[in-house]
Amino acid sequence: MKKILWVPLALFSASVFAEVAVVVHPSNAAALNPEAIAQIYLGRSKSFPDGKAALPLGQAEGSKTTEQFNQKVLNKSGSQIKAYWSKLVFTGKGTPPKEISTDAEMLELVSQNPSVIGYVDKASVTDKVKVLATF
Amino acid sequence: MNWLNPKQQALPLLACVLFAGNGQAAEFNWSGFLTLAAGKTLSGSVQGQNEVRINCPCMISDFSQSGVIDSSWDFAADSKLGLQGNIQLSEQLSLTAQVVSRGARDWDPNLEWVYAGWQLGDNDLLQVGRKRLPLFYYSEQQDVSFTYPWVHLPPQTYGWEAVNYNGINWNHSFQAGDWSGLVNTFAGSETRKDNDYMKIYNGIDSETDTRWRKIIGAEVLMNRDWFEGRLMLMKSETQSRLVSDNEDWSAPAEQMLFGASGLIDYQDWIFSAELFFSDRTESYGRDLAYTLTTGKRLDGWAWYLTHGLYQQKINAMNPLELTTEADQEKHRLSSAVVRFDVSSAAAVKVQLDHWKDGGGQWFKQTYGDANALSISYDRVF
Repeated sequence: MKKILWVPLALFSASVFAEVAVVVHPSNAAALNPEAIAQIYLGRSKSFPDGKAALPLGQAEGSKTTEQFNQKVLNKSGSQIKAYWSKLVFTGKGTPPKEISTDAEMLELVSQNPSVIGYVDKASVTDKVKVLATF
Repeated sequence: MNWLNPKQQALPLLACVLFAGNGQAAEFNWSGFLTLAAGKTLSGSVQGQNEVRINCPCMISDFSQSGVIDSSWDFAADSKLGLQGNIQLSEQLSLTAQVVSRGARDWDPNLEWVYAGWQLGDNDLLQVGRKRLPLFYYSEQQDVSFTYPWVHLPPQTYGWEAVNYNGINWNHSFQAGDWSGLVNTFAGSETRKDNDYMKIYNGIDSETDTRWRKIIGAEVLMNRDWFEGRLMLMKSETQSRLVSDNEDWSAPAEQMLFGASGLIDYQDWIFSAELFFSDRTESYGRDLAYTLTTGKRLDGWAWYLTHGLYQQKINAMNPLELTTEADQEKHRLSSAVVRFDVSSAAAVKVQLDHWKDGGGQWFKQTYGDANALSISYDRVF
């Protein structure tokens, strides 16, 4: 009986405490606080503090990593994010970050382009990218 | 049903022809939104068919599209379906069109947005074509009910005879410390033939044309974390003619419009205030409108309370020969809304409205007080 109770609890804990890492190209010297990261992901800021263009990439809507990122960095639910971007898309004021399917693909894209900023499950991070912050 | 003039219709098409042959692969995206909203008045001070042939008790939910909730359940007042297509012709140039079909207009599809956009660097965007006139905070997104709290926008503030315009606008975004800002300047004109807004006043079988020319205005939005503020100033000339009475265009009358709003969204509490003034002395006088809202989100649910006022001040001597006793318009609306997010892209809302009239005799006898219930399903895709 105890085993049956502990297995789902452990799974629940793992999903709740999974960390998200915000990553950039290793040559990117930017230091961004959570608010600055949020501004880039909400389309309100188009550049890093050094003035170089910032290209944010997201992960699939509804993925655990995206849910964590939305809650911890953007302080919004999936529905609030959808409403936010719907407002911009249908009024010609912006488009949401392009969605990347997997952590591996995200890491590859970030490692190839100094303008790209992305997020992945912290457990997936490799030395091909630089971690800006974890949440 | 589409009031684009031929020159403005041709502009995005011309851009399409010019750039289609440059060898770049154009990227096409489409998206859409849906609101299925049923509404019914529960009680009210006017009974039976009123002077403009609406079955009362009745409550105006959308002045601009003559959306009126009447004494029987139906989907007419606030339901709509919108489809938007966007072609990205190059990194700088895109074309966008949006067609909206509304219950209030017998579901006739109407091309409401069609514009070309040029991205001029990271922070500047120039758009030319037909767009929504950004009079109020929610004006541009007014058809996408999923993006705001209510089944219908507060009609005390969101009720004017012009909704779109043909022209040009320039968006400039900037950073100021921890603040991000956007300045949108716009200019153009709008002619609405057989304007639905005027049917609220002149009768559902009447035909009135309205024209706003020499529109020029600007809005400034400032964001920081949980706060967003907005200021808007606009002026134009206005004219109208009651076609069904064979009237000629009225003399151009200048109007000045001013809007201010603030939105706080902090730890699942929401507070918003929107204020609007107009100076239409050359037509009849002045207008004041405001909307105050408080709300709380909790586990996929959100609860909102809203109160709004619209008050007209008619000058003693005015070209339209309106009188305070008969024609002056003043009304308040108190609303309670419950929203449940069915998914990240869909929501169900229930809204209870209490409309209190305080205006002149005509409005009191034609619409009066009303209580109404509305239920909606909103979706974006």
